[in-house]
Amino acid sequence: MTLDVIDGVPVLRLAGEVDMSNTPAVRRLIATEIGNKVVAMVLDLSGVTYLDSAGIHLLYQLESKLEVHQQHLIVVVPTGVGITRTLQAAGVIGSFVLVSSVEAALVLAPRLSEAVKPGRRAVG
Amino acid sequence: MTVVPTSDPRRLQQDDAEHALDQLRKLQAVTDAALANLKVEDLLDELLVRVQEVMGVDTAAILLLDDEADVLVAQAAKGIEEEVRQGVRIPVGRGFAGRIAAERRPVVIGRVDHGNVMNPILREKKIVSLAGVPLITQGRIIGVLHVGSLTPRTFTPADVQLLQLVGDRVALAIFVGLYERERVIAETLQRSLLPESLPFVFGLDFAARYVPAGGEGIGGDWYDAFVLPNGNVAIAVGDVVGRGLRAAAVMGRLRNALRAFAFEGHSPEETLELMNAMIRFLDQDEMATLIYGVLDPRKRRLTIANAGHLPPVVSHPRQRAALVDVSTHPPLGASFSSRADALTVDLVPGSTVLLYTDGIVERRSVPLDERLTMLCDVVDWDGPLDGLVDSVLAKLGGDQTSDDMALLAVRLSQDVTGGYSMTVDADPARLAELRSTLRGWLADAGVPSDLVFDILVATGEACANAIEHAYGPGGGQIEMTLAKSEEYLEATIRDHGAWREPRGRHRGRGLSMMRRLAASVDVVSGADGTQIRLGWKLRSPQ
Repeated sequence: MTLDVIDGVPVLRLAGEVDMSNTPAVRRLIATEIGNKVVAMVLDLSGVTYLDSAGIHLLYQLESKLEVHQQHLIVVVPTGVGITRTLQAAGVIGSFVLVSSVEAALVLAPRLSEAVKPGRRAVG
Repeated sequence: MTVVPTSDPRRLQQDDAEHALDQLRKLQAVTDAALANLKVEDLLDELLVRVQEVMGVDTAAILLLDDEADVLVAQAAKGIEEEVRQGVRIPVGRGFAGRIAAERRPVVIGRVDHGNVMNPILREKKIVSLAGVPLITQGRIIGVLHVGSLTPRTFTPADVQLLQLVGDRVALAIFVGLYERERVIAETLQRSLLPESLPFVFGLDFAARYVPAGGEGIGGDWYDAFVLPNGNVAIAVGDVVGRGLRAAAVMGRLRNALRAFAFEGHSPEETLELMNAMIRFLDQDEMATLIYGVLDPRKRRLTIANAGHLPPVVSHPRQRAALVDVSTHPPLGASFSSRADALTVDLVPGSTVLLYTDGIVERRSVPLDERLTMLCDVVDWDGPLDGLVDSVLAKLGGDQTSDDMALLAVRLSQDVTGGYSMTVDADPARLAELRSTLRGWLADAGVPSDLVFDILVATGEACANAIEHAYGPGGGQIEMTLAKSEEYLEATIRDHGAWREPRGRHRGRGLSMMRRLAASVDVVSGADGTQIRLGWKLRSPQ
């Protein structure tokens, strides 16, 4: 699990297997490292080889936490990887902003903040 | 529109005949074109308009016979629409229409009065002259067609003849329409009552077919197969005496009753007894044969009870297929007591059980024993089970047109391997280890790679569920068992705790994920813990 900030956008990369044994650590990291000046964050699942409902739960939880602060979550899932099956089975495709690469996520990040009404826009 | 001037005495008979033929052609065209649309009500309306036109009459009406009440009910009318709106009912034998139905011959009334017409609407409408014909099809009276004139008119024999021709066509149209409608409803009902898919049980393979009868409508054959709460499998084939919608409806009731009694945990003999009591009580005139068995896939044991049905065929590997000698008891509904002793048959891997209805084996020209021997010969087959049921239909059912056919085959998988089992502490930290073991086992077992991820996640979910929900802080253990046959793979996850309701908004997602990723999910919770059985089909049967 690594966290970088690229062009002011936090990019959290998860790798390996994500289940209930390691999701609490991800949650803690996000709670401490993602400040409220951020308008969008990227969760990169490219290196994830296993994801179950604990991971899905994490996605929903993360999104609803960010939403409170008018912050956005962009999830990176390359096409054709195994975890797509989990996302399909959980019915989450369509309920998250999904892109296939971190580059695409970074292009998208500033646009998402523009879509927020100026009055409600997060400071920063 | 030409009006046939039938009252003209100077007209030559030849001309009359030609005119009648001309009218008939027109009528026929209407009737035939309308037949394609099959909506009986619209068809009758259209025919009546046509009758009014070609005969130059003021009113025309069709009354259909309600067999059970022995009354004629107004079905369609022109010029006297009140008949239909008021639901006029004329007892057979009384009044004008009633007389036609009772005497099954045309009746002409030159001048209407209280003595010869019962229906007040005809009198209020000031109809002066009437002519009516019976609607007869297949030698059976199904109703009456009558026309009326507001001015005095003499309906000639030629008029009556023409009206009868129209009537015959109406009768045919009604018969075809009602028959077709009933056939479609019966077939839809029947199909909806057959199981949508056969059960998915590790170590068992199923195949079933239902073929409706050719020309004579739906019979009451059915098959059913479902998993019971204790993991055993119920199999049944039955045949309701009779045909058509009624038989299909009875079949539906019996099928649901069987499921209900079976789910309550009654043995096959008790189930048949209860069903007999039920049919005697609720469907007094109905009768059905039924063979019902409960298969324990772990003990490889079939317990079967029979109510008047043909005996099942069982074949074991390297043995000739044979009829099972289960004692036959009276069909359901035939007698008050139907104590049907069950028979237990021990099966081995590779054993096949075939249940079927009489449409497969009964032929007027061939002795039954001969046909049953033929059937056993076909069941001696170790190819795919779907091929077996197809060849039963091909070799024995090809010449069947008058009866429907249902058959259900179950086979115990021959090559059950595995039984790999590991037990770990119910701790999230052990999940990775369980998955890695599972990955290795799946690779060794040659499971197709496109299934591996689904199996990993669904099994992981089941384990995570057990870890999360089964135990308190004291912890416990979970056991994962893997087994595989040629067709199926099964993963079983057991714990010995007591599940609690999921907490939190996004919890409880695990089970729905399992259902999406596995072909079958079977959760059994009891006092000694919870067992989740997940199943996948490795190759689709041919």
